[in-house]
Amino acid sequence: MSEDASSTIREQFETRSQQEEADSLGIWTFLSTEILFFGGLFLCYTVYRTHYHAGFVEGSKHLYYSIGTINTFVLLTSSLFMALAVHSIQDGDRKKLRLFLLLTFAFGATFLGLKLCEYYLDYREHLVPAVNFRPGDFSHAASAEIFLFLYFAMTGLHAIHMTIGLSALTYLYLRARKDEFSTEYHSPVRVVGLYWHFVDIVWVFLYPMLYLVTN
Amino acid sequence: MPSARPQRRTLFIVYVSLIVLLAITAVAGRISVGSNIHDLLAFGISAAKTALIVAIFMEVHYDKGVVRVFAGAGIVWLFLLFLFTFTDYLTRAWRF
Amino acid sequence: MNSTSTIIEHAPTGTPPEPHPRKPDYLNDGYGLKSWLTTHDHKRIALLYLICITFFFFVGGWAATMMRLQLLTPQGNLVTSETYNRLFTLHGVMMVWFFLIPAVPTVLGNFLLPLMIGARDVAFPRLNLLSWYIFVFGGLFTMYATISGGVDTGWTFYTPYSTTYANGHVIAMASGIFITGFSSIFTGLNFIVTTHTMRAPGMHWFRLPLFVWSLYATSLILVLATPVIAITLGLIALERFAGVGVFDPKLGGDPLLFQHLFWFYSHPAVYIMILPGMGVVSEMITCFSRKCIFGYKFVAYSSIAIAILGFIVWGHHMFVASQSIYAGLVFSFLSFLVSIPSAIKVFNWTATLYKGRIYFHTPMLYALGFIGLFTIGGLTGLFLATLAVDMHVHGTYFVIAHFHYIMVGGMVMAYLGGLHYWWPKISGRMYNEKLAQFSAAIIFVGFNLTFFPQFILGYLGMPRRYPYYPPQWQVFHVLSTAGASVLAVGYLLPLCYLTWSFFFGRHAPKNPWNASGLEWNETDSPPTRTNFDKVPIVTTKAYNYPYPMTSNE
Repeated sequence: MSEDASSTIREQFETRSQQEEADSLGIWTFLSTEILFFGGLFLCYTVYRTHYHAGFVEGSKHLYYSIGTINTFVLLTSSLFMALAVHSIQDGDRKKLRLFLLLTFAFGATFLGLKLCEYYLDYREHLVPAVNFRPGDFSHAASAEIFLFLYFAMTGLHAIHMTIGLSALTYLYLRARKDEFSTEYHSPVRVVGLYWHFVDIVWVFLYPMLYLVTN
Repeated sequence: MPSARPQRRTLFIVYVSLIVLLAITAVAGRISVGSNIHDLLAFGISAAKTALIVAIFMEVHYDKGVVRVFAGAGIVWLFLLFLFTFTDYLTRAWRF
Repeated sequence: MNSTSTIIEHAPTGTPPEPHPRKPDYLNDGYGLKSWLTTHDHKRIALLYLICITFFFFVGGWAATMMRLQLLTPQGNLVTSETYNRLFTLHGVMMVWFFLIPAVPTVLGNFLLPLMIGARDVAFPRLNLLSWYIFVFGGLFTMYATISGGVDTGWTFYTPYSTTYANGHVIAMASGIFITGFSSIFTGLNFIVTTHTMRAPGMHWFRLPLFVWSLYATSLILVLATPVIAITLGLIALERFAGVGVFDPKLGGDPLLFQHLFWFYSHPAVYIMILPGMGVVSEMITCFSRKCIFGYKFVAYSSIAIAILGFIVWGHHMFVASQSIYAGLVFSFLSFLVSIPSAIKVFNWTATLYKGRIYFHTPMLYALGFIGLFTIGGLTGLFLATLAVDMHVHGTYFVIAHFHYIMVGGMVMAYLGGLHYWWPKISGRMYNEKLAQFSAAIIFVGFNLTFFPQFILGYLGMPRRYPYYPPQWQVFHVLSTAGASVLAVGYLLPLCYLTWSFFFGRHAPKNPWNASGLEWNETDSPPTRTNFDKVPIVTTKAYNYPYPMTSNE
């Protein structure tokens, strides 16, 4: 059952609200670093898209639009479940917390599974730069290859972040199973939730940037 | 930790809005409407989705000022990176 | 309830009281390697960092020694050109990422931030320890890359040389720096959250010591700039590994895009290096002129202004790189602007000295040296920000002299000054004052002898990173190398006497300098594990010194 309330306040803090404020500012600071981390790739993308529009259109056409669209739906849904998980534990509902954590995880894992299938299909289509890219398939081969390089780099980095997110969800679930969270104390759930939503937002931008480049 | 927070209903409304916006981009992506309009539409919809997620799912709408500043700082800085890099790319007389 | 309302009237004597038996403090709170390697105590973590960065400093210093020996003769054949390239790369990588960027924040910052704001520790002590482990891991990785033969691209890793043509361990070294970047990010994150949430009651933002303001500004840069270099290094590693062409013109890439990304971080990085040093100087100037800082808010705000403006001037590294001339105009103008807050600080420090009661203890010598040498370095930066002048001196020893005046004449002196100033607090011991003053003088003389001739060399046209030169310039190189030898002695002396004093020095009193601040008045020397017996309550502004006599409190 719930342990002594004060033991969930870490030693360096005076009060719970101080701890919560620190956790909140801490995760938002970290998310700012993540914005700039992805941002470097976004800059490369923007520079090359303005210069090589035709190659980008061509490269984008070769991607699996249907998988990308379904994945966006899957990830947005997982975000809903994450928000519901936070909402539930704010109400003190531990059962719903566990349920929604599981659902978030399930949809997140589905996203990664579909992504891996898509990567395999991309490989089969000779779309992987430096591995089996076939310039002959393209009229703007060099710029299409740059597009595909950025596609793999950006979605790959995103997938790494999804994996970290899934690990964090697992950690949360294991703690939730031991009834460690309550209305008073659920800061880790909130922190992981913010991270999860951020990873979702990155994909919200990646989807049109990669799959929807048209003339 | 905001004492105010979104209601369950709000979460579902936001979710439905996100899906609707997704549907619009997905369909528009298959129609050629002219590259610039299309880019603007796609970016605008992404921005709108982000605003919904940040404000409601991430509860920034319900947070106090300092958290909002922290939430905005990253994107402002990214904007600086883009702005000043493009002072170079937009004013070059040559292509690379 | 403790308050800091007492005005300090006594002059700093530096003489300790009678010896006392060792009370429990953070140094003897648990013995053995394990207690140190698993500590959450910010003070112990600071010492762990101190050991590491001292090591890296001397590795970088060794590389510089080799370079200066090579340059003693015009066709010097101490090392091959190939090796010389690896030496200056090692020097740059070590000094920038493993010494200058971490030094003050991780050693003095980690130790002092919680003490100065009245907190028991930083906001995330375990993250703090993780930062150190990441730093060590990244450092080991980089040392591995070095020992395997190193890299010859320069610390700037310009493409497409680094991604396509260089022979060397580019991926390993880039990975080592990538890893170390996370240490920076987590430290900055920790400091920002700590400053926002862990201040003692009554410690309003404008009662904070200026060192805290400078650490906060530095942390903003650490957090917002470092991720960009991380992704950039990742991209060059990937490009080198996979042979794709994001930065390679032969494959449709733009090498200048790399430079934009690289300098977006690396220019703010120089402010990461100097801002904490400026904060240290504010603390030392006030204590040793017994005077409150002139223009507290101006100095505080200028730290933030430097942090922000420092992000939008990076193109001044690329004036001759084929960047658009209009972008050059914008960056040149903004570079002039960014000098203003730094100048404000110099004016305020000088005004603080005016009508103060000056004492020439070692920290003050370093602080005064900083003000003079930083000013010279900063002014020469304006030369470089001027497009027409930069045409001629870009890539020459003029640039090298400029940034060494700031980094070594400024930053390293501030770091050594701060180390001496807070040494009694950190170690609980006093160092030998006369020896320390002598060392400071040696460093000052050695520094100027090393780097002033380099301004002239650069003006005359000597390019940087060249292992040979026309014979008519030899006299300047000889002067420079002679200066470097003196400087080396100057750096070895504190290494010896500070280390000696740590174990055998006289015990220090709580506040040997009669300085103002929670770290001096509310904690012992050295402090206990949890810093304060009771949470201090702050009721006065910073810098409670007796001068000026007409009080403006």
